[in-house]
Amino acid sequence: MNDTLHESLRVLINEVGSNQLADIYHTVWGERRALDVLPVISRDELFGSPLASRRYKSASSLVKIFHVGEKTFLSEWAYEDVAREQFGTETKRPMVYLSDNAESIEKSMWCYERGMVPLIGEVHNPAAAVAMAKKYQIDSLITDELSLERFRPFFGDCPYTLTSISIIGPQFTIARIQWVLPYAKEVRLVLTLPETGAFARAKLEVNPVFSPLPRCDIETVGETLVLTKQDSLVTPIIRYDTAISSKSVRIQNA
Amino acid sequence: MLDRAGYSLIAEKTFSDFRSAPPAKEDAWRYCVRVTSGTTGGQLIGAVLQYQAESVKRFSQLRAPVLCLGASATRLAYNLQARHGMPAESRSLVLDGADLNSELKVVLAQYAPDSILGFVSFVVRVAEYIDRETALGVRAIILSGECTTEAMESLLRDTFPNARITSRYIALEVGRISEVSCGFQPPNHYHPYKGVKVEIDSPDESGVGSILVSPSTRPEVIQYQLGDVGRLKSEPCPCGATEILEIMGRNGRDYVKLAGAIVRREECDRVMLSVALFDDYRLDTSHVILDGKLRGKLHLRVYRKDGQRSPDLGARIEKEFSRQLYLSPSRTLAELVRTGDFVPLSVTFADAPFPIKNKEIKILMVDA
Ligand SMILES: [Zn+2]
Repeated sequence: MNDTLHESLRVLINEVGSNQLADIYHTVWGERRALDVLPVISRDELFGSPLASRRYKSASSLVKIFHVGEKTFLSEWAYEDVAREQFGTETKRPMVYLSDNAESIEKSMWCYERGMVPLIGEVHNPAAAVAMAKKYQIDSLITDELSLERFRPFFGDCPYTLTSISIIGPQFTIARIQWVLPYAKEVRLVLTLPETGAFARAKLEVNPVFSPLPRCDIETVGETLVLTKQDSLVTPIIRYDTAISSKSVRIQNA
Repeated sequence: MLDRAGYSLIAEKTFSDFRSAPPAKEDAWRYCVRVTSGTTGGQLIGAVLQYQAESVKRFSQLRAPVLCLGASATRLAYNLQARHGMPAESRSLVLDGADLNSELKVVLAQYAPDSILGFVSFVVRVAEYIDRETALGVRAIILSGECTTEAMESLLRDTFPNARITSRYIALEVGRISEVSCGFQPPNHYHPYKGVKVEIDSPDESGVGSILVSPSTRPEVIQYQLGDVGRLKSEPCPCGATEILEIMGRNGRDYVKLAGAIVRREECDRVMLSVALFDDYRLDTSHVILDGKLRGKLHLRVYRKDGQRSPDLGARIEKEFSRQLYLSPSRTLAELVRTGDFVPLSVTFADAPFPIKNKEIKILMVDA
């Protein structure tokens, strides 16, 4: 981590530590403020706490429900922060086809925040999604592993190559998705969790190596990836335990 | 007069123009693209919806709405309008049917909605998953897109005593058709929106006929046949309005939304052929409240050309029809009866063939 990054992070930590709106980090950190001594915070600690205790700023926002196993959590995202995310690429006719409703809405709103009019695919109706995509002549696709498989018939007789395909998710099974390579100029894997947004990216290849996205720091603690985002999000992500095994992805820190 | 096929042609042209020349970045939020199935099944119609300052204004009083809508494209369109119509620092939550589980209560309590928007059958289901204190915080319930019944309205009034419940008659293709309900009229009675000319095509003796609309903002759309039937009365309302449009449901009854499920005529026809126990039918759909929960109720009236009828035959029809009729992609009527979402099917025999008026209506909404 270089000095400017370190400085902006120090500012963020101090702001979060003394924030008057919310207190979950203060509760977990106590008086500690140096990055190297801050404890790792888990999903249950951070997102299991009431929304009000982790709402660090008030802004026009989207509140998402996300499910992990049997548990249900809320994650609030300011549109200004959604806009800064790097889910896909900017094209004229993007399509969002994801297996989760709230994620579909958020990623579509990302398109709008970036000045694009997206086509949103119906989660449970792949045949319709494929037909819709053909009709709109989509030029890029934001999807996940499961939805990409369902969307496969689109590529059967697609007469053109997409500008980009962004596959988002917490992990990737390359053998299941590499068939898509010929169908887009660029196929990206974007490490993403509903509650953290995107944080690392790789080109789709047999052994992908992920680079952290700008303003994202990824550490390996024990055997899991721990993430810090330097943006002042509604719920900041500071030394957050992603629960993603460090063995499942290769991260190339700069 | 413009029927759906005629409308499709206009929509197609707009869609292909839009596709070849997407709007400037700063105007993107004014547009939604969606593709809907056409009149003849397989064919798809592309549509571009455009929002004006006027269309997002209805969100200007909301700060924390819950959106309860069906198709992804509809959810996105509403959320987009909320984003651009609500005051700064407001938030929205878009619900999905899969979110309706025991954890929703906690989640909604944290979110603390001030309003709930959407399809009444969805909103009614959410009412089951909201605790009293959270429900008291809801100040507005804004319904659209479906006929509301007295049973539904009273359930919502009981659950959300502080909420003003309003509804509007809106069609996806042409936008708003009615003013916001004024409070003096029963469910499904609306005053036409000032920017829309409403007419009734060849009304029968009771004034009921196909609803035609001509929105002033869309000069190319003249006398568009919405596919709904209703009647228009000139009658003074205490609110000052002088015209009342009563919506009676869909023309030809392609489908009825009921207790979170969809009763489709095509599916009913399929099951009729499959069970082969009667020659024609009418299906009355309604809602009942049982133990504080809103449930769907289907009553099947069957006609047999040979006049045969017996309690035993009725029981066989009840069993087979329930077992084979899918009301969602994965669930049959029999399953929905088991889960308590529907009460058991009832069956009666008709003495004479069913009369056919303008268009053959097989699935009826009887409690509207
Ligand atoms: Zn009135």
